[in-house]
Amino acid sequence: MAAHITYLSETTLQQKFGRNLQDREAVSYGFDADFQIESYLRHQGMTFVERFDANSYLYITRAMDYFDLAADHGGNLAAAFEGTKTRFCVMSFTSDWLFPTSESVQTVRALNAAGANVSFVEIESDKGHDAFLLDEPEMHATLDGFLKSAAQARGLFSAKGGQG
Amino acid sequence: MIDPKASAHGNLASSRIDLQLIANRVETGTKVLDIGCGDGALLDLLVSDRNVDARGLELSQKGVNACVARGLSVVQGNADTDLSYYPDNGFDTVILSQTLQATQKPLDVLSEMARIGERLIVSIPNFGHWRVRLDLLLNGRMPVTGALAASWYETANIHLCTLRDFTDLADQLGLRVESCITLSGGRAREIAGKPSARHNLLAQQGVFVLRR
Repeated sequence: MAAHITYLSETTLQQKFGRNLQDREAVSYGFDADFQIESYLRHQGMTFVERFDANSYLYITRAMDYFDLAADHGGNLAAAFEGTKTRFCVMSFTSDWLFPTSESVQTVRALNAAGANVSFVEIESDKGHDAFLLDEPEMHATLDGFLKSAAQARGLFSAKGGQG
Repeated sequence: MIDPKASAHGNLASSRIDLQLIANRVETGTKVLDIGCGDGALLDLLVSDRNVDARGLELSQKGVNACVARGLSVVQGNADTDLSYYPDNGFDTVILSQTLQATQKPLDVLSEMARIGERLIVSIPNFGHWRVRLDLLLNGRMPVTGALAASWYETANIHLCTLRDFTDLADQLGLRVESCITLSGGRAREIAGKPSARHNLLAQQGVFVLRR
């Protein structure tokens, strides 16, 4: 339930649920789901528990906690990208509080310091982290341009047309 | 929110003939950084015409997204604060077109550019143009011209200078002026070395090629 909040944004939660009550006229002062948001998060929590083994979440979160790319390169993130031939495109969403823009910027700066070919866009959206799963025209346009130019650079896509 | 770099470009949109002139002065197959690349018009020109490994830095989110959507390698960032993250000699040529006057610290921006690349191409609107001078003399108000269309209180161009001011600053930074192209009424003229007092009076824009 806690994790699920990080996939959404404050605006989305506020718009969707606010302080709306769940199937009742007044709060009950008990530990039942008085608010719609409580009911929604409980439902999402139950769905997750049914779909996944809770242990897998423990392992994934531990793996994320232990992952430190900079530490593997003497604390210098740029060193991790030294000599790379890969083209990078970093995207962030303004309302994403799971992977905020400030952290994407750090990655981009490290890539620049390593002389990597990098593009970086921040896309305006109130949908939070989940925006990348939704219909965000600007994200699709960016991705389309990036993939086409990467393909072109590799000689996989000769004509410059089809971008209109 | 007012986006200073976007409106700096907007002001000068009708007079961007400097772009082709800049592109002509970039050697084919080299590595180029364009600071304040706007919607990517110059980068596009460099990539398609001169087979350049071109990268851009742009402040406005709209500009960056437009650039990446057209397949250019552009990063959102600020010329005043983000140049320090680029490596020494990371590029052959570093370009700043119609952006210097919109930066907070032009001197720092130029010295960072000289650290990143050996060769710089900088285009600026000339505040020494006779119409600007005459406008101030006769009206006693901050000049508003075709190239500098915004009023003093809303302009993004906070550090305007003349061609002479610019070459003085280049001297101070130990940058040699290789050539200068002056633009006036849509006509370009190339000068070897620094522009004269006459050029400073007649040019609406100057495109400088500098070497450290």
